[in-house]
This record gives sequence, structure tokens and C-alpha cells, in this order.
Amino acid sequence: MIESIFSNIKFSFDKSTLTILYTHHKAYIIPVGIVLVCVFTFFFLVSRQIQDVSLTKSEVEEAQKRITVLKENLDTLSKIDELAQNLQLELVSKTLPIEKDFTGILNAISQASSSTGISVADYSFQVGDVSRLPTVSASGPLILTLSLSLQTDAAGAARFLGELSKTVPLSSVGSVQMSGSLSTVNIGFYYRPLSFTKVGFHTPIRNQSSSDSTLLETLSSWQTTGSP
Amino acid sequence: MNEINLLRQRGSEDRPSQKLARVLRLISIVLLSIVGLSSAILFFLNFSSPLFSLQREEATLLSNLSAYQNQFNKYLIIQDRLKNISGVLSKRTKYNEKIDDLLQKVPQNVFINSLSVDAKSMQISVSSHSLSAVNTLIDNTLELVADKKIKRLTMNSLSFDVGKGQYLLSLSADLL
Repeated sequence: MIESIFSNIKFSFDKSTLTILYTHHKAYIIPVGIVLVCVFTFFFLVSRQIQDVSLTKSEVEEAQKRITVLKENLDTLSKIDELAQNLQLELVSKTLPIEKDFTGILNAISQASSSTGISVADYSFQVGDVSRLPTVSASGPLILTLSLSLQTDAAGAARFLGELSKTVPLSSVGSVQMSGSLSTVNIGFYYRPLSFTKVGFHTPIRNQSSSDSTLLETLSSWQTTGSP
Repeated sequence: MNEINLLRQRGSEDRPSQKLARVLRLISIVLLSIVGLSSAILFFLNFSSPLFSLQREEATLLSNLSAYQNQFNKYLIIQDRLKNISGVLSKRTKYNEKIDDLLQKVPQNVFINSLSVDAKSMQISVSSHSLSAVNTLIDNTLELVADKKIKRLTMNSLSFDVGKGQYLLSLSADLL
């Protein structure tokens, strides 16, 4: 029964019906439409604009910081004396070479030996794996260990080590063993491969600190003493 | 005779709906004004932002800095080397000074048979014909503990070699 009633009802939405409906409810349709558009605009466009404004503000602050760093870097770099910088580079590279500097090590031993008058009996390097390129470590430099026999007593060994500590490449003693007139010392010679980490101009650089200058002077005095 | 108006009086029946329409119109105008005004303000804020000029300035500075790339690379290498050299020097044990400190405490008539030093400890074995000299060595070495140059001193052994007529002493010290 009900199905038959509904089946007889026919809805017709032709153009004229829609026009009549619009004309009749025009006073409501337009404001409601505007309200809906405004709500949509506010939540989807204006809110994004607000986010953009706050984002732009933070971007501006970051850009200003970057520019400050770049200006300071430009100022520092433009004041660097290239000749002095080359000398410093040479100095630190001799002190902490980029690879195992066998020649430098032998020169250092020879220098310590000649200045103390202590003869070196024999020596052996513990080189390790030479087939692989050393990788740079963030924690510090790498060490090439050398075992050295000296024909001297404890006092002579102490003098030799004191002299060796003022030579380059940089070294540190691991252990000393003396028996009779023969001393054996284990010495680590440091080296550090170059790091290929990309560092841009946005990294703040500073003028050389007083401690850096003092260290460079000390290293320079070692090399002056050591030069033939 | 009563007059009956068969025409619907305009406004009397639609009054509530007209009121609703007016309210809707007012709301729409207010919302439109708010959205329009806020959009205009936000657009102005974005437009007047100095970001673009800052980005241009940054690009110019980077371009100027590229002329100093060589100096910059050298600077980074020097700083890295100095940092590592300084780190090694600050941690480096001065063995020569430690040995010298100990040797200064050894009397002349005491002979050092063996000496061993590493990062944590020091062992010394001596011999002497004089027990008094051996005792002086122990007393002197204890001064190093008092001076806080060594942490602890242990006498491992003290013996007498009848054949050679020598006293043999073995000491070990924990280094600071």
C-alpha cells in the first residue's frame, strides 16, 4: 500500500522549479552561502595565512642570525694573512700529519737521539692494516705505535723522552721499561686523516684565541729547535 | 457591513522570516568584513616581510665569501689540528718528569736494576750494599706520596743476596 503511494510520487527539479525556489528563498540562500564561504575561507585560507605569518617571522629571525654569522665570517676571513695562515697550516700538519709520517717519526727519533747523545739500538713499528685507508674519527687522532730500544739507563731514557716530547710529529709515551743499560719505550705517534665533512660558510668562525696562539708558538719553538 | 479583506496582508505573515533574513544578512556582512579585513592585514604582513631582501643579502654574502673558500678550508684544518693537538698535550703523561722525580730520590750508593713505568703504575727494583741507603730510598720515595706525585707506594720485597752481599728491594707505586 505504502510502496504504491511512494511509487506514484514524482519529483521534478527542472530549471523553472529551481528558479522559483531561489526567488522565493533568495533572502536566506545568499546570506547562508556567504556565511558558509566565509567560514570555509577563515578555516582553510586565513588560518594558513596566520601560520605563514608566524613562519615568516621565525624565518626572518633565522635569516638575520645567518646573515650576522656570514658577515662576521666575511670580516674574519678577509682579515686573515694568507702567508701566516700557510705557515700555521704547515706547522700543524707537521705536528699532526694527515697520514703515518714514517720519515717525520724517524727524524724526530734521530733528533732526540743526537741532542741527548743516546743511541738507538733498534726499533719496530706496529703499523697494522695498510690495505685500508684510515678513517677519520671524531673522538680524536689515530696512533702509530713504535717500540724503541735505547742503549741508556733510566736517567738517559728520561732525557730522551723529554727531548722527544718536544719534537714533531706529536707523540706520547705508552710505557718505559729499563733493565741494566737498555731501555725499551713504547711510543705512540699521532696522525689524523682529513675530514671530508661538508662545512659551509654558515659555520661561525672566530679569530684565533690566545690559547691557540700560545700553542702555535710552542709548536713553532719545537720545530725551530728541531730544524737542522 | 463588514469588510472582509481576502488578500493576504503583506508583511504580517512573513514578519518572523524577514527578521531571520535580516539577522542572516547581518551575520554574513559581519563575517565577510572580518574575513576580508583579516585577509588584507595578513597579506600586508606577509608582503611587508623583510624575508626576501634578507635572502637576497644572504645570497650576496655567500657569493662574496666564496672568494675566501681556500682560506676557509685552511682555517678549518688548522682549527681541527689545534683542537686535537691541544687534547693530546693535555692528556699526555710526562714520563720523563715521573722518572726524574723518582731518580732524584735514589741515593748514590743504590743501583737501579730495573725500572718499569706505564700509565698507571711504576715498578723499581734496586740493589745496594747498604741497608741504610735502602732505607733512605724508601723514606725519600714516601715523600713522593706526601707531595702527591704518586698515589700509593708498596714494598714488594726486601731480600739479601748473601753471595753478592747486596740488599735487593722491589717497590711499586700507583701513579696519579
